[in-house]
Amino acid sequence: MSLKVLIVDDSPLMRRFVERVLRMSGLELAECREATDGLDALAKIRESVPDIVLTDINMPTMDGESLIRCISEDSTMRDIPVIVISTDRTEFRMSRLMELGAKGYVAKPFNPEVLRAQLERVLGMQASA
Amino acid sequence: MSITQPSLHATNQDLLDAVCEVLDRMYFAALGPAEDAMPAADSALICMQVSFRGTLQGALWMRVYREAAMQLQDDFTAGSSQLALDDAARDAVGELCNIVCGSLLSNLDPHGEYRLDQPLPDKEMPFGGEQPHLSCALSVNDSLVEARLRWSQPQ
Ligand SMILES: [Mg+2]
Repeated sequence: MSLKVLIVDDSPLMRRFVERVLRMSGLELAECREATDGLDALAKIRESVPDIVLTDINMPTMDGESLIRCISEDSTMRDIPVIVISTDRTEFRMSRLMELGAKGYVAKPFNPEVLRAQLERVLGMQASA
Repeated sequence: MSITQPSLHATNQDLLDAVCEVLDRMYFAALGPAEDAMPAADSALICMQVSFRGTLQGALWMRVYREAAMQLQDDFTAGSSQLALDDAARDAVGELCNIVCGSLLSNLDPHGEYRLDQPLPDKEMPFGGEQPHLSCALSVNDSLVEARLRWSQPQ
């Protein structure tokens, strides 16, 4: 399967890192686009719907929580799985994000294998849904 | 000053462990004791600070030599960064500070709740000159990297 991915993070370096990890993990990427915050992500999703969104939480303008809420509340977007990549791995934050509709969670710092495992799990869930 | 419980037990080793974990897993850096760091010749310093609020409050400050920060951002992105060099070096140290801070707080207080502010450039002397509660230094790719943390009173 060739994937269309949207990476959302305010750090240009982090976006590069995530893309690098995706490519290293052997996934076939049809498209890898970037957004700098939640608002930018919504605009990019409206332009072209990705197979999966990987998002940071702590971002200016619109943070990751608000982005996940917007995606879950929009009938044209709610089927897009979202994986959160964040430094905050407290139980409070993780359960809150899952309640809002996130399908996976990767805590920074992470190994490439961890991100790949989350992607496979979430995409596997999609395929069997 | 009332400091919340997990922060009372935090040690310099906790901070050092968090810094090492991040540098090892995400920046693929060679780490060693601070004594192993080579003296940096005329390299400017990049200082970044991340403040946090919630069940734990305070700020983490990190200082990295510019040359070392360039190396870190290069290793982090495998040379694919398209930013101007100084912006990339600042982003590398800011993101490092951010990840170390989140990692440390999640380790110290996994049941807690907090928010990190955006990383901001800071002066060479953090916290208005007040003593840090935690500090550590280490050699990263032969260059000195320092981290300091100060808890603040919950609002
Ligand atoms: Mg961020």
